[in-house]
Amino acid sequence: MFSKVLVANRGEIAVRIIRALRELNIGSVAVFSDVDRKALHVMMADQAVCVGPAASRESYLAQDKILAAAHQTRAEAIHPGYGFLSENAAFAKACGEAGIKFIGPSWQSIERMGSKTAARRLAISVGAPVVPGTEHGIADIAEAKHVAAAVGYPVLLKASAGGGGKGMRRVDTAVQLEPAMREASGEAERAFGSGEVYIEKLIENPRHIEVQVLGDEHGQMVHLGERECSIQRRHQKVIEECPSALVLKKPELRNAIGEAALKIARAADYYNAGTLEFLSDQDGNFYFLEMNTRLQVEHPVTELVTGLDLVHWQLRIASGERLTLRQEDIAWRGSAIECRVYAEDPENGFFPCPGDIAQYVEPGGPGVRVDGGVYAGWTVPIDYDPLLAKLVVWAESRESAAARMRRAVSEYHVSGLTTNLNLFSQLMSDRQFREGKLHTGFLEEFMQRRAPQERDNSPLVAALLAAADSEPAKPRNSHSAHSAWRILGQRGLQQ
Amino acid sequence: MKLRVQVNDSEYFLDLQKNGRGTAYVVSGAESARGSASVEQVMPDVYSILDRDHSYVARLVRAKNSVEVWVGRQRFSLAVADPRDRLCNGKAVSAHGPQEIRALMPGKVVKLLVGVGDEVSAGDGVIIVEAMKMQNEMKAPKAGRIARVHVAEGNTVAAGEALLVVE
Repeated sequence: MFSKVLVANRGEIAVRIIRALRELNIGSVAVFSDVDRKALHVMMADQAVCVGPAASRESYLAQDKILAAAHQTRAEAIHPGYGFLSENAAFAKACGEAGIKFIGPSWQSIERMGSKTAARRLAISVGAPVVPGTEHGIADIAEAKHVAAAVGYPVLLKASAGGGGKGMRRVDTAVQLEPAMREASGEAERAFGSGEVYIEKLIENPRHIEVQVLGDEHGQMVHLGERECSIQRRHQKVIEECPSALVLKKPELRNAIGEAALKIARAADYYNAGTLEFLSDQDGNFYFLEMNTRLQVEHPVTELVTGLDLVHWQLRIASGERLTLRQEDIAWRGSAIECRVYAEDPENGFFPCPGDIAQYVEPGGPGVRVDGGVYAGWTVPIDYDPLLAKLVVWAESRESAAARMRRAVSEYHVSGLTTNLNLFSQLMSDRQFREGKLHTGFLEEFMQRRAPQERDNSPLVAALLAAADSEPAKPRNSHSAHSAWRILGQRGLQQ
Repeated sequence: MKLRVQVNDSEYFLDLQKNGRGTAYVVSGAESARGSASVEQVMPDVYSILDRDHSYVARLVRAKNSVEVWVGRQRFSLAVADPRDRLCNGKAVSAHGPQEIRALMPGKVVKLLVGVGDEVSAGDGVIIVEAMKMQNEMKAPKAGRIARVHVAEGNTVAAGEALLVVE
């Protein structure tokens, strides 16, 4: 096992990895940018090295500086966390060349799975399902009709050159195909300079279901089941759970999707922890999308349900140990839900709200885990993702997990900045959520259909009494200030 | 103690009477309530409140121009004002050096009670500012001489704006 590991990340995931290192009695080295000098991960690590200014490309993404920090502190391995350099094949290769173990898959696997189209071809080659359609541009309407009939309506026309919905058309019947193709092609031509479009089967109300795999460097690999991440905003996950509510209804889905994931990962000669993302329709027909060749943000839900520590395993595998787990050893117990606590305002288009954290109290009690990266007094910098913490709960059933999450949210106090915590308590009470009727458009719909937020004024008297009783924080002279209101006045006087 | 306070966008009046068992309160304004509560500070800026037998934890966050009070997941934004029971209150003040008197709320200068060069004692009324339809007499925070007057009668002033300097 390593004696010292550098964590090339920040925030909650750096803290999560440092905790695992301490549990395994491995020395930890944090890296930080100028604005992160007082960040929690810096305080928790044994050693910490500044790697540059706030801008990520000059600090957390600066490969030479990270490697220099590893050399300087004699770290034997680098854990990249997620984001930043975690899926950078060149960095993984550079680590190897510098004699430092990259905790993750080989650089070749990262490269192979890094391209969506290459990953799709690999999946097809092993017979794993992908969203049916063409991988090349459609030549003419005759070919379009042929392909659309083969994959089945409804289909989606997509611009080969683009994204962001430009040149995209839903087509429900054959008669709509010709005009839709003309429109899509024209729109793509104007937006991207190429009118080429291709056809994909439209998955209605898809669910995002992914599979965690774990493999050693000696050819042994298992899947740890699925996670459902259908609650998203702007294509970013907000709530994740294990098991998927769909798997609860269709238990056979877990093994089917798990086996498909293993086939693809094996074909990529994959090792260490990785995640294969699938889209599933409401009937449980699933299609491979892409692979994330790293630890996922939402890994704790898998840990709580399988009882395995993924970061421990990542470290053990990277140090050459064999995976002692066989597929039949993996068991899933109960239900886990994770909420990503962001400094953002759901009432204002999920706009990021970084700032000063005045008070910070994490929930506790049975089945509650908080992977946090902040503390009271910390200023959430504007330079990075505004994820404050992940609130994760485990309970015997999905229903009790949702109730436990609601309870935990009610204990979670973050003030000084706006967070999305209120949204989670609304969602946990939502009937459709409780019934597991999820799809990737769920949150957008929920924001439209939810009952208007009635202000509960019952604690008003308590608020008034507290303010009236409050003492000045730091009286700067002998003015007789007693209440918060007078402090305000006094501050005014002294400015 | 009588207080007037702006909570979110509504105005409330709060009359508090401490007695042996706790605090008797009367709330009027946008909503009315009366009762008796036990108020205990448990940590800086954290209060346990038993309003009759309802238990609340209230947490205060002091901002520049308001106090934010969180009770559970509810957030109340309280703006200044205790117009009658004013800052300086006649009691204060042993401060040294020049002291600025600033407007506590946006309002209008109704009357200047002093001019540059006037000698004042601590607690003397120096200016009357009308805000939220109430006239507030602001008092000298210390004994001294009026060094500067930044405003004239009829002026509109912003919260925090300097009005006079006593030195």
